[in-house]
Amino acid sequence: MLLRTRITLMACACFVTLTGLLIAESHFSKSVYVERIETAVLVGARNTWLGIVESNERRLDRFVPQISRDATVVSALAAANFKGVASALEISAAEIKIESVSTYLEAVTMDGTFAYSSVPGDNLVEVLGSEVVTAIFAAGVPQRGLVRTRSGKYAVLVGIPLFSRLGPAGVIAVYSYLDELVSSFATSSAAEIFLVDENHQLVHGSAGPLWDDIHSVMPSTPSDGVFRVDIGNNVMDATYFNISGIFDIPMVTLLMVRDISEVYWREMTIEVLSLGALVSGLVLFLAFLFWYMRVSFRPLNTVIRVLNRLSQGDTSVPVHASGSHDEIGRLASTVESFRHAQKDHNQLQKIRQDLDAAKHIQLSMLPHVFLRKERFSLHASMRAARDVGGDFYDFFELNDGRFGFVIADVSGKGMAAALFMAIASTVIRTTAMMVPDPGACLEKVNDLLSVDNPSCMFVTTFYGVLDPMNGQVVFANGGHNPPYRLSAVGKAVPLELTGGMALGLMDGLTFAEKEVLLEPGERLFLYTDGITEAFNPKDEEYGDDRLKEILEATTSETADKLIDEVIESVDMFAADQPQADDITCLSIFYGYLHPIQDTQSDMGLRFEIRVNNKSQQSEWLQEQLVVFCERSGLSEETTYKLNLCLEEVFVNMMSYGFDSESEHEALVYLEMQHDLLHVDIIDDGLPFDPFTDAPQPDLHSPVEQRPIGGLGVHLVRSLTDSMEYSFYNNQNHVHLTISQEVL
Amino acid sequence: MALSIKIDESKDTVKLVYLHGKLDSDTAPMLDQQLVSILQGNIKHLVFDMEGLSYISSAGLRSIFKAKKTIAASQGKIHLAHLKPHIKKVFEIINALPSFSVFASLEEMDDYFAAIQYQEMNK
Repeated sequence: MLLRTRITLMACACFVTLTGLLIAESHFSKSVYVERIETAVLVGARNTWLGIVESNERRLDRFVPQISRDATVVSALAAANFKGVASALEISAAEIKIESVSTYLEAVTMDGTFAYSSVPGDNLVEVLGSEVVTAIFAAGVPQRGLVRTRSGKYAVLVGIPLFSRLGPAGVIAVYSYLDELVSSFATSSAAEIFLVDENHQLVHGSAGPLWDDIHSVMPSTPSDGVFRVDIGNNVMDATYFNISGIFDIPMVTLLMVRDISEVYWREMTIEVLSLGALVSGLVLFLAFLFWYMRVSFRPLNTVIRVLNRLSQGDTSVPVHASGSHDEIGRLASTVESFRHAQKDHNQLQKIRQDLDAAKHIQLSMLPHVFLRKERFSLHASMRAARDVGGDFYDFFELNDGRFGFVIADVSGKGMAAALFMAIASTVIRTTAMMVPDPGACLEKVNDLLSVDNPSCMFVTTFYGVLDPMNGQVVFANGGHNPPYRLSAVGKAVPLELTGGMALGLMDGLTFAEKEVLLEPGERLFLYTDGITEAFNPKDEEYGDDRLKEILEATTSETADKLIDEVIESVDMFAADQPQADDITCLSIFYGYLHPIQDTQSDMGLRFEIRVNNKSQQSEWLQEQLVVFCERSGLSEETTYKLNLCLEEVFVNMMSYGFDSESEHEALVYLEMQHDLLHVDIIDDGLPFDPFTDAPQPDLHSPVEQRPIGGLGVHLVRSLTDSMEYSFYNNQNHVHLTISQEVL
Repeated sequence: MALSIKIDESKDTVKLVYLHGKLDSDTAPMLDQQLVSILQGNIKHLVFDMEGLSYISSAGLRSIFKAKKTIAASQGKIHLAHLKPHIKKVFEIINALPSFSVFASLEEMDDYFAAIQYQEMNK
């Protein structure tokens, strides 16, 4: 059951109980009040009646002295001289006749024989029956009371015992009929009066429908009380009490019936009206309570619905503000706040997922297989400040064998920058394939990016093209930080600016080209301002000086290590300060002059042996070769091939390339990549290509007839998988590969 | 490891040259020098025993070819014995083996020379 319904029902129950108690109480009070009224009415009626009776008795008593002192009457009675009695009582009878109430005299002798009556007639005893006479004589003094007459009527009498000298003489009674007293009572009480004998027979009052009704509801053993009689629309109150006879036994019951219809109906109307008012009040109260609860609890229902939906992950259903500031209103606004927070959280999570996906896509757009070519190696890194960044790098081989490399920084950060970056990098790469010259390429790219670029995003771009054969780098700079050129001795110098603007701002711009010639051992370091504009907790900038310092001090031997070193330095500088901008860098190591003896790189075992023609170093070369062969696990056969090839190449080099007067130097690089042995022999002698300049040997004549020469080159050709000669940087470069046969 | 050369001159017409070590551009001139004196005599058979030879380069080949040229002038022959697989392969690459008689073992060589002696004695 709903709380709302429970509260309504409880309030209803309270109300009903309270009302019931009030009604019961008023009913009880009313019955007490009615009882009191009835008692008062009863007492009043009885008193009125007694007053009437008393005054009648007092009236009758007035005759007592006159009669009892009349010796004539006594003697006449004692002598049973009825004529004498009648004449003696004549005066009194005359007096009695003029009384307001009909009053009569009756006299009997001592033995109850009729002696006189003021009522002319049949000379029979009317009121003084033998029992009455006996009782009067027994009392010896005048007695008063009600008696039943011989004719069946009721009379109030004063019985006077008369005594002669000889003893009791007789009794004289002064009496009036009860009817007259009752009429008098009816007149004074303004009510209808009935007299009923002990057998419930009507002795006074008009018989009719009223009497019949009263008779049917009258208590069977009445003493006194009040009862109600309904006759049609009339309501009567019947007050009754017993009237005792002369011997103190109840003789008749007096009923006083009063019409109380008017009062009764008024009372009933008031009762009905107040009950109606109460009931309609209750109904109204309940309706109001129900409505109020419904209105008050409506936000709670909404809250419950919203919470249900929230628990299912649906944040779309709002809690409408109830505007109230009670508990429910506060709860509703709290839940609404919670829903907003949850919604925001969900949206954030969605954005977060989108950003993760975008980051993944963006990272996958950047090339991750870096270059380790014969004559240079290239490495790069990009770390976004937010999930997706606006920086990028790129590198690719052009159709003419040169390599293009790009570093760029899109204005702004975040998703917009990332989108522009995607466009820019694609455009640069595709344009570079068709337009090999960096300046022309950037012009074309700028024109493409400037079209339909209402948000005026731009990208600073450095684009260079490296010719690995001679170290020539042609570049154009579109507003980007000039890269550093690091000499072999560790001097860092920024490349010259070419005066170009950032790409995408306006079309029709031109981009000048410049070029540098990298010597072997020189390096290039390209970067974005995320490095130089990194801040530490003291709000200091990393700056160009620190970058230059670390570049000049670096001992990193490879492109990837240099990048790691720089980024580590920036991170140490920034400490726990969050990264403000994307950090991107790209480095190129040109030439073979790695200052290493041997290193276990990820590419395989790498070895460098330096030989000088002036100092006798062939034995040292031999020892180094033994070490290399052991470490690389070369087979005996491959070892033999390597030794033979090296000797033949060296012999040629010494005999054709070196003039014995000056000092020359040769370098041998050995690198084992999987099962392929790479051999590079570089010398600074005269240009000599052993594979074309050496004579072709005669392989068919008997050996004694063959001309001398060409044998060594032929052996090398036969024992290697590939061989290559080039001359650049005033150096002879021979590259051989020997496959290690896997047994 | 350099080259050590031992020459057995106990026979008149057959000279045995034991080579041990590496015959390369460094050591070939040394062999050339030693051979000059041997080849001055009337030598019909020059045997290079290469059992101890671990390495030969084009310079070493050239020394042997030079000897072959010299001895061919006096109708002499050069024999190669105990070629290791690597060494043999080098000779194969330059198609030189047909110009020499090659012995796999000393017994084979002894039989060969015994046959020659027998032929000469029966002339």
